[in-house]
Amino acid sequence: MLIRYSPQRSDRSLTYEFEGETITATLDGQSDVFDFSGLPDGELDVSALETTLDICPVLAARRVNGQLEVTLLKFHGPNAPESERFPKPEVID
Amino acid sequence: MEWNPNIPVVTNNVQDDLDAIRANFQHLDQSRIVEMGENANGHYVRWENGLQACWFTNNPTPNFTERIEGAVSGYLHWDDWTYPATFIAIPSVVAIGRGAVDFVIQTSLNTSIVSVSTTTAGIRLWAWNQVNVNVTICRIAIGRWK
Repeated sequence: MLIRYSPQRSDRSLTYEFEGETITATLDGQSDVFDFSGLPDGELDVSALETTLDICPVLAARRVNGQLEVTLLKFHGPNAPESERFPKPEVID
Repeated sequence: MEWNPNIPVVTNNVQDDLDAIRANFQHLDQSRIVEMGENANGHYVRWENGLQACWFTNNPTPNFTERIEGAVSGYLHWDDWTYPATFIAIPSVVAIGRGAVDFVIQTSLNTSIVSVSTTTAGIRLWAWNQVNVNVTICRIAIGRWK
């Protein structure tokens, strides 16, 4: 799974755990699970994603030649290092 | 901030000037910038009174696909902007785009905001022709961070 992070300055806490093609997002202590294992090749309309969180942290998701690519909201604090403000994509096995 | 005729000017009299300086600083209270920053989604400024401005200009790869809306056909480019900083309430967002077909700027191109939240805004560019080069999108969001 290829993960792209979209950085945003925020005072809130948002973390992720990955297992296979399932992503658990935890926002200020509240968690929701996003399972992409059934996503076929093509782009997912993420505006239709339902979540119990008050914001949807999944900004984009698509499968290209079988590989899942997901863009996730990623919060950072003030004076964050460049690696957090300009994050590079990560491959999660 | 508006000019306030009741704020005294300095007079070179020590006590008067201390009072005048104090009054001037009190007038500036809550209007100071408390944080500025930049990340991959643009720039932001936060003022002490809760005002926040975000802005971003970039040159995305053109991805105009054919689209029919009612009796009108054209080409649509999707661009969802994640603000560089979170808003506490829905901000006001404006965006304007431009683009060219084989380096001929398209004056028919227009820009719409189709969705706004506290973290993202959906931006769409519409053109009569299939824009294929030199796309620029400028975006501004203004609202509150606290």
